[in-house]
Amino acid sequence: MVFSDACVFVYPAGNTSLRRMALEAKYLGLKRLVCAGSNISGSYFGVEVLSGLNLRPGDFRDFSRQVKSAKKSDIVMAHAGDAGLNRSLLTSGKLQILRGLECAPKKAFDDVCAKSAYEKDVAIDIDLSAITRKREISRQKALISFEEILKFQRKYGFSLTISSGAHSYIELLSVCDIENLCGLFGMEKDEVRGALNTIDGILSPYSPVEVIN
Amino acid sequence: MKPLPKSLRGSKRYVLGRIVPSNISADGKEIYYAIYDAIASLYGDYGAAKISMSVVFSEDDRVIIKCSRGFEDKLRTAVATVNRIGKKNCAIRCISTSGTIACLKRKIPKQYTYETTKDVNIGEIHYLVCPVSQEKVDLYKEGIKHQDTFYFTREDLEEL
Repeated sequence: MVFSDACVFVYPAGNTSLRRMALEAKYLGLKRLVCAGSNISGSYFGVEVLSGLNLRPGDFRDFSRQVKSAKKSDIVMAHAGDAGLNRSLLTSGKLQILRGLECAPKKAFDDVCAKSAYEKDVAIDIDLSAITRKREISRQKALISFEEILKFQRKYGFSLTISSGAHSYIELLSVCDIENLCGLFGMEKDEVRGALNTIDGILSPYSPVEVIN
Repeated sequence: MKPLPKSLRGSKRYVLGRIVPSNISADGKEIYYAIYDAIASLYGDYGAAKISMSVVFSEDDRVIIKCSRGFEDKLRTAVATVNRIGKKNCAIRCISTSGTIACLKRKIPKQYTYETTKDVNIGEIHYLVCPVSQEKVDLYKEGIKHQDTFYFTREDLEEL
């Protein structure tokens, strides 16, 4: 299993360089990082680094325009909005990870979105910075939101990814910490490990027919 | 209040933690308040009373935290949410758990000093270079106001 952090921000978006982030991630048990806003991908200190495109579209046209104009990235992520936008993003076929559902309006992610996420192989991201860096009502809302996403995931079977949203190596989380934090909203250890391994499935998607020479 | 006799006292466990970044020298009291705030915020007063956390040892970047037996995972979860000690941004990484303080103290490595490198300029701003290990370096912006810190490696410095 290759444990991945689905979204980190390296220098200049954060205060830690790519190599330093990879080195620290290695000590925490992570073997792959997705760097949002970075075009560099490769392997540093035994940790695979992928380039991620992190979009905040106002509407679906904005999303299509940003995807066309951006440089090619390994992973395409977008922030969730209202229910209409989420459905358009999930059915577009250009998105790989949908993030920020804990900040989205109520009922932004419903059963239609869950079915679309499963059919189009779009993963839903759980950003643990909502638990580690927020307090009081914001954190409570995030925990409720994650619990609902987990219920949808258990019923409809779409993939989940887990990210630390780290802007500094200080904010990175170890695999053990991720398991403990995900346990707060009812995620089992097997489910956490499966979610940490989802990026593998995104990079090499399962296809029903394989030609073997 | 009289202390409980030894036969009635509950079992305790000790968790060894490491404060990152390592240059932060925090007082045991400050660490205690930071962890206590995190526990009370996450589990409430009842949870905090059940965990009954205390900081028994702190030196440089290592800290040993005591808790009730059976609540180590909850303590580790709360410690993962600590992002500030006093006014300094930092994190505490739990390394191991044991039933005795002596066993954890044996796991604390010796501090080494590393070869210093020249200071660097990023743009027009001058940064002091502080080596943390053979590969890691921290860059600190000179001056009293607007402290900026960057975390790089020696290879990154060569590219600058």
